[in-house]
Amino acid sequence: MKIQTQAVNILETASNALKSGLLKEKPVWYDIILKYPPKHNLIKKPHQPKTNSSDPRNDEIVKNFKIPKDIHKIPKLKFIEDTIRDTFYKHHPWELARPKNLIEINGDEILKKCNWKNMLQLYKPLDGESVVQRTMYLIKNNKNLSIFDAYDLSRMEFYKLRMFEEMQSHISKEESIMNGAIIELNYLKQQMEKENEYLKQWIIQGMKQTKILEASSNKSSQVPVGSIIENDINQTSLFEDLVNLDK
Amino acid sequence: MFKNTKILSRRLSTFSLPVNKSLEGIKATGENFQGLFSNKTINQLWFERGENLSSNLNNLLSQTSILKNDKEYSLQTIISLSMNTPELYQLHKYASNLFNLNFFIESLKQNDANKIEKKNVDALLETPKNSFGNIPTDHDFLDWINYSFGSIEEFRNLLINSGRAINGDGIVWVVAESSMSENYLDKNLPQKVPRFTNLAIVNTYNGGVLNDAERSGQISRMKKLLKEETEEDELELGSVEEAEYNVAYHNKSLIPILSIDVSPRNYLLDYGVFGKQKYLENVWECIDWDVVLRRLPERTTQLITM
Repeated sequence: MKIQTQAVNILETASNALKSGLLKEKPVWYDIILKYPPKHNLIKKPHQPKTNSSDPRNDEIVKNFKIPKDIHKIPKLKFIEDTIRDTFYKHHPWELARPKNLIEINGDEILKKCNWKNMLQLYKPLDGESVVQRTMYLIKNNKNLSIFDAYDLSRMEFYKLRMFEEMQSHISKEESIMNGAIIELNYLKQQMEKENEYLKQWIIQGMKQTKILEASSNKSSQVPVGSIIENDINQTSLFEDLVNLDK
Repeated sequence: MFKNTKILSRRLSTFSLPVNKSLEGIKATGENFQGLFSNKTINQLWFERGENLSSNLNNLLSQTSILKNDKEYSLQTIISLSMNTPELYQLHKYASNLFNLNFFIESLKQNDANKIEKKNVDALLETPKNSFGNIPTDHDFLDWINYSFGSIEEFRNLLINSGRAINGDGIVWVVAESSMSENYLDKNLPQKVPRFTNLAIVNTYNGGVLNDAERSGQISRMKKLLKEETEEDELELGSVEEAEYNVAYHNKSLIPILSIDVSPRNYLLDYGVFGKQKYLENVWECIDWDVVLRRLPERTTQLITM
């Protein structure tokens, strides 16, 4: 049975159910509704504009309006920030390789604290998102600035700050070494050293094995390794046959 | 290294602070060093500290026997002589600090275009500005800067960034770097003339002196002392760190042409804790390029680098 949307049908539906035995007893409202059946369909229908109708509501609706087919699809959200973000990471792919904190509760608790008057923030490290937010700030506060100029400006600020950051880490290391710091091996280097130990053993063993192999293969001819043996002397060049043919 | 910069010479076994005319004027009138230091700061930095350093140096000199009385020594010679002798550490410290102080202050001129102002905590997050003045006018020098650093903007950025990144006491030097290592020149070229092809920026920390001969191999010497000597293994590859040290300090001849003292004593009084960037920007505006040009060695444009 189709889904019944019309209140008018309720009597018919109930009668059918009684007849077929689906309902064993008459519902309490049956007799009342039989006496005073509903006259109106109470479901509100959306207004469908018709081209020839004189309905005043038509004036407000653009003529030739068609209900789009994908009206039930979730619309794609388009933000200018996303475009800037895409452009930035496309041009700076290695920025994606930097570690990022993914722990957040609402998603905006850090951004809410930030003031994009400056690009550097107390609550978040410098990254591509800083460029995006700073660009948006510049556009909002400078009506004359085009989006490209704003992006370029904040990109340059980003480079400047990144350069300082890199310099700082480099100089700090040098300074502490000059003051006597000894920088411990990191995990990667520790593993490399461990691996090297085993590789060294393997090389020594391999060298021994190679010597044994060479010695046993040369046993029959009784010639020391490296000396020219008979095969080598008799070796002919690839072209020697051709040369002989001519003779 | 300090061959061409004879600034302070020894007379009657004592050194005195060289007379700087503009600074004497400032002391007499009580004015500020326009655009960089207040009167109080320049008094502390130059007169008090300088006199303290030179009197301490003279005291120590009278006690040591490394110097012959009949010979005249320059400050640079004393620095080089005392460099590798631990007993003369104090002497070396005062001599090099005095040299560094003079080298820095000498290359500054007043520039009333910039303000001396205390910065508050907001300066911590500010992005450094791009606009600047006081660009050297000498065409050849500019060309050399462009060759070595790319452009004057990049040069300034690198200079200010490396100065700002020093946490404690320290000095940023702009040096002319010879193309070949001194070790190589000693062996292969008897006449031993270093040729200068490149400008570079070098940091020294805690009143260190600029001498690549001292730096090259310094860390490995230290590490060897700490580590028990083991037989060299042919199969072992060197670490990245070792390679870095070997490449970074080649024992090349370095001639300093400009230095900026970035120790906190220089900016704390006038610019506050957060004012290091502002201080460095002001220093740039106050650099006397004429002095820098005088210190510059002859440039060799050759292609061999090592």
